[in-house]
Amino acid sequence: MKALVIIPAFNEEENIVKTVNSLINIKISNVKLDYIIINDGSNDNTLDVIKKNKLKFIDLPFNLGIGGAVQTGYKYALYKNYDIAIQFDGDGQHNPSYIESLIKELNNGCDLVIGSRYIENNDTFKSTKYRRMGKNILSFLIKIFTSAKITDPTSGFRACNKKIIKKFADNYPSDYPEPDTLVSILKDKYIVKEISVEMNERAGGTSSITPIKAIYYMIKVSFSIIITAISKREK
Amino acid sequence: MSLRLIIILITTITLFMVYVYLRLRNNKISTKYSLIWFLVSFIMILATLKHDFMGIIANFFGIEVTSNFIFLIIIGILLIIIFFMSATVSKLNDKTTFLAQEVAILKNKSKEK
Repeated sequence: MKALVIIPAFNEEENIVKTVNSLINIKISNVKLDYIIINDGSNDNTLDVIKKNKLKFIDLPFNLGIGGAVQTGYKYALYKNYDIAIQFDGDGQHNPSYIESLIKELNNGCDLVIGSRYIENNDTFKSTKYRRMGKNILSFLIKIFTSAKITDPTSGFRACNKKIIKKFADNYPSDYPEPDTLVSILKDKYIVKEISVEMNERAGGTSSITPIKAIYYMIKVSFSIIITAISKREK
Repeated sequence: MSLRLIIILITTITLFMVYVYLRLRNNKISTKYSLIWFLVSFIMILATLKHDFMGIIANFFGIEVTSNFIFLIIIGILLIIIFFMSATVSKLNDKTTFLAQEVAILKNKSKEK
């Protein structure tokens, strides 16, 4: 089986090499694990760092935002006929040792597996009051519209099978896409499961979400969830 | 409506139509979009010249000053145009994203060979 780790990177010159190095040591039986970095029009030295270390990358001609970058990875996975695609942040937040458990759930018949920070109420991931509040609102919205319990709807640590790769390659929202895509997948009756993971604090660089953006994010994502939920199924 | 306002409006609109025509001739606006602007200009000229008739309709809607009624129509038309413009921009944005992704993947492919 071939699996592709999609690493979206926007201005991650400090973290990208560390992230890839932590990945390439992972060995999973019966799975050939590849990775691809999607450089999303970074305006720091990310591209130079990638080239100097001879890492595998796709260089977008300009910044598309996280959704457009991740979708590029799914398209690449589709064209290269990968069986599994794993989304993995370029900033060192995700721990690659969980990739094996994500793939195991896919082999057990799941279509999409999410690495969740909140599943066991372990407080290892320090999260602010507001972040929890936002997350709870999104979980609640998803619960109303799809009756599925998703504890970490914004997690960018996810793995999916071929069916979902095809779906994401065809259609993927442009910014803050995680909760939105979850609703559309759950509506199409695909099997989604969460497993508990621990995430690290950002090793370096700055997070892309500022307070003003956070409020805009909440309004936009909630709106988007509702629209996706009440729209007719595509299939 | 004062004669001065009528003259100013007609002159401005005519100049605008000439400008749209020049752009159209140099292929700097597509026929589809220039048509919208010619139509809008035409409606505006008609509304200005026939302001007595417009006044009757304005009265019917309870608007006392005819020019206000004309402005109302113009703003309405503009809002509709802007809405369809934002729809067009969204569509173009999707196309640009698609092209950027395909170009990036192709560049990666040619590098591998």
